[in-house]
Amino acid sequence: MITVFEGLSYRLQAARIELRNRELAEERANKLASEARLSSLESRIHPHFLFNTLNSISALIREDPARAERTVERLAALLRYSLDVHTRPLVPLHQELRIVEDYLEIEKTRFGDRLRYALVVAPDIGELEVPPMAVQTLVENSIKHAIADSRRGGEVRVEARFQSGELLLEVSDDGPGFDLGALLPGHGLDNLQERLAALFPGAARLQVTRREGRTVVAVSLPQKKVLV
Amino acid sequence: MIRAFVLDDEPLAVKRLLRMLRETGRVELAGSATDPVEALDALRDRAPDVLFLDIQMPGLTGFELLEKLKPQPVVVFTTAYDQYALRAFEVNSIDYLLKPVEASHLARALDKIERRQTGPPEWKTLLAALQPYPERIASRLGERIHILDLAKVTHFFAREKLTYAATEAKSYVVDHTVADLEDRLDPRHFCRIHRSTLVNLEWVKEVDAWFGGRALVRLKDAKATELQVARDRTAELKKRLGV
Repeated sequence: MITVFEGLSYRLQAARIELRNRELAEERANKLASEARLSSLESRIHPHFLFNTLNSISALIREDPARAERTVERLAALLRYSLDVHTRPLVPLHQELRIVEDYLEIEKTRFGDRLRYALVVAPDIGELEVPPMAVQTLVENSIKHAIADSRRGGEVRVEARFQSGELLLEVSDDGPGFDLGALLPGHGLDNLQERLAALFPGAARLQVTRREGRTVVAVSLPQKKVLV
Repeated sequence: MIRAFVLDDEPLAVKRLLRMLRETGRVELAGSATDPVEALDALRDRAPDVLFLDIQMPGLTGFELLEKLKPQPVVVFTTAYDQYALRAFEVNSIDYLLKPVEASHLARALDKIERRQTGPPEWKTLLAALQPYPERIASRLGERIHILDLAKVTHFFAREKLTYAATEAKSYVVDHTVADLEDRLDPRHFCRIHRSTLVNLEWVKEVDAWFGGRALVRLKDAKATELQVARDRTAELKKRLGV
């Protein structure tokens, strides 16, 4: 009698544990899904950047009101542009580069002399098309590795040129570099890779190399427009 | 007067906080820095009462810097985004401020520091000795952090490399292993009953002896949750429960 009761109790307990396990698996799946949503939103404009920028503006309002105003304008332009990313698959390069400059100037407000940068753009390629936030994502990645994590700071260099039917975008820095394979899913560069693969299946490349002591992230995009 | 030091790698962030501190009239400025490595010497030299400390900095994070300081000043973390509050909560910080810092929040932090300064030292030591264990634990979901009252946590359990804190309402993922929690939490309240389970004794309703020398704990929660007790933990559980 006791044995039968114990057997039943054991089976009941096993069923309860099984049910609880299933509930937990479901909970975990929901959690992962919501985290994925969060990270895709944040991969556009990271909250850490946003709040630090607001803090810089708060400081500038008394220190240098004209610069505070200019920084608000640049931040507004960047936010508006990043919110529109999903409405246009491609934008003219000159638009993207204007936003990249706004972004670099905002970061310069935060990091001061630790951030030095240069934009080197070949003439007459402003109308070539790039996915919005593509160059910005590369620059953000450079700033993270070469400026934000470095006491002495560094130089970020953005280059764009037309070469054998492709638009070549290169963002380089004199920081320590990073391993593309080790990037987390949902990271800016990872998202960019996915976007490139969706927009130009098999035809766009994103490569990370070391060249003359600099980390170079290069993206090449096929172009439909023919330059004359 | 509270002697304060401000450390943040962004020069404008330092300027703004220094200005706000000056405007309170409650603080004597002991210094400021934008480079955490260089700040170490100044901090050892000037020994401020309170350190307003940024977390993400090049060379040394705020947490790493604290590990190098003995004795540690009272710390108020300043952070742009609360993903780091989780650890800040566990390090010996009196408060944390989100940037841009609001004047009322700064005043609240200064109130806390003054309260700590005014108590007689023996009294403080006594209080610290009486409350050596945390009363809350943090759980992170994406970028959001929940602070859970440990009294409401019925048990902790490990499942697929994650550790969960179970409450009556739901379970929360926490950043510790069950073994780690066993070490950190008050043994008068939390007892390890299984490799993967730490139970809150306050929530134990019944213990059923089960076959094979093992036991089953039934909790007071609405679901009457049942937890397995490993054979080698049964004796310890009974001892802790005084049975």
